[in-house]
Amino acid sequence: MKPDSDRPDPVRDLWAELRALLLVYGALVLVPLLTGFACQS
Amino acid sequence: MAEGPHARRQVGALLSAWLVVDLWAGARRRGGGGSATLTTTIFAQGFLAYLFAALSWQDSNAVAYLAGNLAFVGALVLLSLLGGLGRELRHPADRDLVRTSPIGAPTYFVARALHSVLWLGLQAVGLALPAAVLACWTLDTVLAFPLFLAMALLVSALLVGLQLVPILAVDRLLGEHAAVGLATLLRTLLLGASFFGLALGLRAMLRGPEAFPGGIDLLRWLPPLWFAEAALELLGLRAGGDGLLLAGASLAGTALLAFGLAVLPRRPLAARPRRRGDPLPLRLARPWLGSPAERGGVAFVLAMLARERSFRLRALPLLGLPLGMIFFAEKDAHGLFFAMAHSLPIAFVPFLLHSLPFAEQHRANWVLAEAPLEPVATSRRAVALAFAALVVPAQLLLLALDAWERGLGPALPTTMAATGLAWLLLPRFARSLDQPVFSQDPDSFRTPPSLNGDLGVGLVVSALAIAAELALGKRPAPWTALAAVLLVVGFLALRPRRGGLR
Repeated sequence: MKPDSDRPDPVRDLWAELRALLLVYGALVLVPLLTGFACQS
Repeated sequence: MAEGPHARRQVGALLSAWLVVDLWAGARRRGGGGSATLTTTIFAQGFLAYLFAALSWQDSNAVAYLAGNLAFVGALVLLSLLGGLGRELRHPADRDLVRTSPIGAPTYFVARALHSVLWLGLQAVGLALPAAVLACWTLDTVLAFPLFLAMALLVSALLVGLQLVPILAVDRLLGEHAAVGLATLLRTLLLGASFFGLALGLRAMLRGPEAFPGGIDLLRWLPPLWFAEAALELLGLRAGGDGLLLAGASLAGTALLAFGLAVLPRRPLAARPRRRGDPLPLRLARPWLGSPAERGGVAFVLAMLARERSFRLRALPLLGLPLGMIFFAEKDAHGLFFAMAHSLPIAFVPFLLHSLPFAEQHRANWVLAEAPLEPVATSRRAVALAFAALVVPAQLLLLALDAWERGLGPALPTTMAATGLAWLLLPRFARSLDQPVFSQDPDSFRTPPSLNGDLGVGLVVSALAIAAELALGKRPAPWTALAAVLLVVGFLALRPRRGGLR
């Protein structure tokens, strides 16, 4: 029998995926923010 | 009472189950690991949205910037959601499984609504972030950021609702199969329309509404403009417009219509009348059919091509490209342009053939496996004949558009040459099939390591078409006759051979 840690845990994967998504959101805010300030100055 | 926490737990369970299905759809359905695609999709499309916003940022006025970027975000969300919307239609078992569980109707409804908003929000907000940040400089206020995100969410919801209404109507009036077909067709049309809309829209944002075909009179009918005006009215930067009214009314109207249709009863499947006689492509292929076995093979391939959703998704946009090329051609465009458009459908065939052994309904392959014939050879012949039959309506459609643009005189020989060339080449192309058609699980599909050979074939076909067009332009009479000869030779080349399949 497989140990518990090897079994897929959908809920844990879901939260991991949402955290990764949050990082992407951060990048999508940061890049235009830098663009805006750079163009303004 | 424990009603509250109980219902909350049920909603939570439904939400996480549906999100897992959304994120890992095909991969987890069969119990495998698989990887989620949402994050990478948002990353790639969000970067596109950033490029679009940055391109239009400083050179357009506030309304144009907001409307253009709302349209861009809305179109991206709509296209990525369309694939998922048909899921419930295609897997009614999932729906029935949930309905038999001890979950009350109100709880189910709340969970469905929350899931739709969450899933739409995850995508719309992610894609709208770059344009929302840059909007702060365009409108000179930080409030533009939350307002743009909210408007992007509402525009996406409206667009999704607007395309859902005809699909729901067809589902309730004609049945599920017609609805799935319509969803695929709509997706194809939207894909083509977004492609042209992107180019035309960016031009209109930078140069003013006159640069858009139809001008401001047409743009006034498009929802993103209403929401852009509504945003400006909310910020107090614009007075006396009807943006808020139009945006609110369209949202309420679409929601009412969608809910009204959703509660209508479904049409029972058994009530659909059976079609009599052969479908048109099979009738077109009749002169080439040597034996009943061949006829069976071609009928099988044609039926599967029509039913296979993934094939339609691949093939229809490829036909849309030449149609769009001719439709948007300038009146004085060179004949070479039209020759290219006529030759594109045949140049695409080698690419399509790679995916032909893979089908969602691959279990239907027992039809070929049980036949007393060699499956690969049968597949090759059947595919060649099926595509040869399908070339006819495609080229007739191109001929109609072509003749409308530059007259029947030059359009007819170009069509004859392209059709003849297609008929001559199809049996040779079909030899690249090394597995029976529609026999493999689509999950085992791997992109071929190199497409250089196919690209080469496409280039050669286009070069031949261009050479024929150049010759036609120089001396029309003899080359028209030659095009007719090519058509006849192509037709005869597809005739059954002695000692062939029986």
